[in-house]
Amino acid sequence: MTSDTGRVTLAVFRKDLLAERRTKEVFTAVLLFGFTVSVAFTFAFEPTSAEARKISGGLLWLAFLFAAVLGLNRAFARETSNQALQGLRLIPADLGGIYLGKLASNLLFLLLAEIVLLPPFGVFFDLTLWARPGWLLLILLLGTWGLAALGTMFSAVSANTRMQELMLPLLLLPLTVPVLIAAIESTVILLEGRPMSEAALWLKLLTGFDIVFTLLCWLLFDFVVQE
Amino acid sequence: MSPAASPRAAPSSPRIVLRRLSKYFERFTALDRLDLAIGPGEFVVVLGRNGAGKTTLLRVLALLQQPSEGELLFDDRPADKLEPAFRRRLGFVGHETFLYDELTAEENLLFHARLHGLARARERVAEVLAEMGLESRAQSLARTLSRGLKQRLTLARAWLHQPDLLLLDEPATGLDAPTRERMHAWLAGCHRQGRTVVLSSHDLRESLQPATRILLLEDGRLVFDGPNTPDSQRDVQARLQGGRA
Repeated sequence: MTSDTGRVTLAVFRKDLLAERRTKEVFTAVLLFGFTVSVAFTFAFEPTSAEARKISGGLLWLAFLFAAVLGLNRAFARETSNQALQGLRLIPADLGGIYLGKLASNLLFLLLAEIVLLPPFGVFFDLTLWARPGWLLLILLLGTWGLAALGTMFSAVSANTRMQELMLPLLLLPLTVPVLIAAIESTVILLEGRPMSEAALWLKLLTGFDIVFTLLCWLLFDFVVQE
Repeated sequence: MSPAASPRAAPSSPRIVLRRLSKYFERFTALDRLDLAIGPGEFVVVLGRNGAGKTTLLRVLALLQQPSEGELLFDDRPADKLEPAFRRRLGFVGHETFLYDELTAEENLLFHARLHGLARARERVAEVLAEMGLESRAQSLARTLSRGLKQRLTLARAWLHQPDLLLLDEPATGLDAPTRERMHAWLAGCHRQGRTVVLSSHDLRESLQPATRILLLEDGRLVFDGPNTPDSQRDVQARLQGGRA
């Protein structure tokens, strides 16, 4: 990574923060959709039953995933309006920095929305979510990083297609299965109060996935945004 | 609008060569075997009717589209072998503004200044806003600007890093007559500084004033290439009006 890449990453991240602070479109979409799905799950399952508590990790991540798809669909909408992405292709630097900047901002928006969604979810399913907050935040970070790494890339791919809204979930959902499985398993172990050493393998899988796909997407981004 | 004296007032514009360059969009031929050389410091106006290939030519020169066939060389180096840093020498204004509606005029320019790694980005942005007569609208959101003001902001974005080669695709669109004249005077100033300007237009009268050379495209083919003289203007006028000189 060159200093040019770092500079571009920071510039894109700052621009996205500024735009989001003004419009709140990604954060609001993720939050409202995530909350609605959580409420729907609460009514679909008996929230106080032991069975429901066992599947609450899965429900939590499904709510995050659906909400993330909605938010990530908006991630490149800003870049397609007025063809701003074309303007970014004129910069005198490796275009991978744009990916890293968008990834950083998407990760931040999704994490913030998830942290706001957790307390109501905990109340709906009668869960003690914050017994081991460090582990919870680590699982959230690793799982969301995986979703954002692939989601940012496919958001850029789908931004150049006619069926933008449909294309992102079609591309993203199959590839995020390993992230979902690892995040759900780790969350279930955490919520059931089992030793976190049982989640070590899942957390390593998440970390490996995140690093590999972030590097891969960064390297391929240049080709994705070309004509 | 006038190009301010600057540390980069003596640019070294690249020599551009196109050899048998074609661009296809599926079965449509947008550019058809163009052979062309543009020397450093030229002011070239590319004319042609709608669909003649002007926009495609400008976008190919701006490295936003790759040729389907043929060669594009900058200073004898193939365009596809150029380092990303080369793009620092290009400034492009297209049909779209490339602006972010939810950012102010100043924030839009500041973002691009940072992307270009400009030193003293804030000062440079203030300078360019003043050059384009946009100081009073610096804090206005881009989406609230009129078409003409947006076009001035777009010119400011392209000019921010003081490129050696300005590529302008119908830049007068949306500008009123006095602003258009000021823009032409500003472009003439850029040209006097030694920068290469390639400007496309479908309107002969509005675009020729500062040009040194005229190109005319028809159906993607270069059908006229000559100096900007009254004779050339008559020939081109005749062709644009449907006859052949």
